[in-house]
Amino acid sequence: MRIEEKAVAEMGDGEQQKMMWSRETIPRVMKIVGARLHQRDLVSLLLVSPWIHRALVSYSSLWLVLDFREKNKAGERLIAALSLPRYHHLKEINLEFAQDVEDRHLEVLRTEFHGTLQNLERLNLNGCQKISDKGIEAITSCCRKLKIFSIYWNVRVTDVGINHLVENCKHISDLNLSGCKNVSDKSMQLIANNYPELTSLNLTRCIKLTDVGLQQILLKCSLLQTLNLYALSSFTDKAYRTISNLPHLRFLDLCGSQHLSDEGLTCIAKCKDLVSLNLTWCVRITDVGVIAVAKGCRSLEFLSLFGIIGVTDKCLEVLSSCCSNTLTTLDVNGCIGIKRRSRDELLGLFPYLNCFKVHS
Amino acid sequence: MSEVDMAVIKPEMMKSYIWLQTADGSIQQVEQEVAMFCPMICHEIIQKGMGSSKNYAISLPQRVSPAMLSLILDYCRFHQVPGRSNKERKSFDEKFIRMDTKRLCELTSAADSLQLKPLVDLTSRALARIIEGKTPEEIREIFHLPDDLTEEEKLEPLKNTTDDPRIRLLNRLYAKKRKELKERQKQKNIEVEEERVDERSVDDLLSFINGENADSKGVATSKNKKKNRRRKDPQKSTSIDHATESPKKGSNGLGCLGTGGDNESHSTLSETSKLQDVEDDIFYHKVELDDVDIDDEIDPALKEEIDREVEDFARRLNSDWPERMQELLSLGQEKSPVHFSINGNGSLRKHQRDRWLRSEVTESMLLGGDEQMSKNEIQW
Repeated sequence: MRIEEKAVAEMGDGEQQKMMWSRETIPRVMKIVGARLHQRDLVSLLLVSPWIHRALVSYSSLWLVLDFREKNKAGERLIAALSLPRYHHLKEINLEFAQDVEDRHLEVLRTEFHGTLQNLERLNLNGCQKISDKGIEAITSCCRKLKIFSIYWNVRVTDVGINHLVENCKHISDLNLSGCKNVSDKSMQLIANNYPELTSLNLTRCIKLTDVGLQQILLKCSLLQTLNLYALSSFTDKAYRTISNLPHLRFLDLCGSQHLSDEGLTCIAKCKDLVSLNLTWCVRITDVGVIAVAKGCRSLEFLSLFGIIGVTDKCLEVLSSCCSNTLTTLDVNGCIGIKRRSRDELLGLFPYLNCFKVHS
Repeated sequence: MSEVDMAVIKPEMMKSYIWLQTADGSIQQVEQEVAMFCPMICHEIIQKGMGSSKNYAISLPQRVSPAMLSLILDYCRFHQVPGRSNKERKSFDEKFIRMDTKRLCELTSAADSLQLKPLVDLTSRALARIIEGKTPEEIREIFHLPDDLTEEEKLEPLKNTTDDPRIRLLNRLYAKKRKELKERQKQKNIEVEEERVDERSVDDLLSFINGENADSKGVATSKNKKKNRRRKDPQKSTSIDHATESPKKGSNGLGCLGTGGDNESHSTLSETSKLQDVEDDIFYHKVELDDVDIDDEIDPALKEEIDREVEDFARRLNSDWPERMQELLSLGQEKSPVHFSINGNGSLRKHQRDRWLRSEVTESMLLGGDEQMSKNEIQW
């Protein structure tokens, strides 16, 4: 049926109703439903009718996120999408494991969309391995209000890139550099000096880091709640001791910290708000350290002692008397020093346990 | 008598009722605690003092029909009772939303106008589940939305201000399809004419039998007419078919190429000229075939084959057309922002609709495809 320009009054009742349905009722309903739909379905909806299109496009809260996870030609898609006015209030861009994202795409963003990205708060470049320091310079220069930045598994990022980050983005609260193996202590200094309010930091496998760099962070980023030092075996107690400087710490991953001793762990136990502690392969730890944690961290919910042979049943008893109300995950696989660690025996000590294996 | 005594004797008298009026004018009484579950009604009662009598009935928004009001009140009546367990409520909700899609939409709209958020959440969640993973066509079907472009409108040529070769190609294909549509319509008219032609040929035959010489020409003419018509159809549809097939292949090839606008336009241009060659080839091929039959009758088996081919092409064209169009248009990047305005009484001007359709197709290709883009299907 061709919709011509005739007065609504001239139409029959049936047609009038049909028009109401397709031009008012449905678009209104789709606006409400749209908030629950993923990006793909939202775009499908846009193509259903011009009236739905108009209703949805004008509802800016539907268009705050661009999600190109795992898509190919993601760089081009991003540029094309940004040319559409409804994406000019973006808060988040997610390019995790997207393919074909290169520095030049980010540079186009800087030249063409400088104004439109100024409110971006969250940027995920995880797995975008072609991006280098240049790309970081480009994107950070047009997204100065960035709060959450993640670029894991990228070996092209160096201290130069981090320097661009700290120069351009002054409000970072959450930073993920997991797997960025070429980042050094210099970056730690830059981060420490520029982000005193950092709350989350992931340094997994940043193998160039030493005690010096880590200490900078621990001394100056005192608001940290999450700290991930997974697979970093070069730190020593010298730095570990300083973790006590973080009163708000809740999540701490020390998997593979082979030099961590009971002394260092006892200092860490001063972080009384700790909820999650991963001590997998911290092979120097004995009952002394674990008991200190039990007594200091009464809200502990998640604890892994995987592979620690120096701990015995004694530490479990103390742990039980202190944290049995809260502990829901406990991994004592490979802890041959603990004799009574069958599932039932553990449940006897910790009645709320529901997870017995963390490390595979 | 004390209040308590009264309550024991006549409990119904202690219950207060609220008067509600729906858009159709009908007024009904509802238990106050049930009606108050709706924030909008609650507001009217408390802030404006409405609803206490028939004359001061609360006017409900137009979207709340009597049927919807009844459903909403059922919902409120159940949930406003404080003692129910979460399990009970969940179970009620699951049964409650079992209704056809149209009602779900009306209910969402009505509940929204009464600001009854829990019900809006319930119904919109159900609608979201329905919409998930569907194509626009499917969504149109489910929600009874008209596909409001006619066949002809869909084939209107797109404006090609940038002289984009892809748009040129598309417009040529549209032109061909329009021709075909006209042909089909003409065929319907011709069928009426054909009878007359046949009558003439019968007359010719009769005169021939009666011995007049000029008639062999007449017979030949009618035969030629038939043959020409036959020749036209397969040729046309074959060329259209190839015309639509090549771009499809072309777009796949281009899809595999790397980035860079220059690459793309080059390839398309060569694709376009290739297309011309293909068309020409087919034309000559078909002409050859038919030349063989000049004096004989067309072999019925061949005729059948040609008819089948024509039918097949037409069917494929009709079903594949939207996808073909999308593939073609997907090669482009819409750099300029899309604006379209809607006239006062709601109709979209044609060129604006073009732009809407074209840009959205482009955009949906960019946003919709999977990591491994399927060659044959656009994945919404």
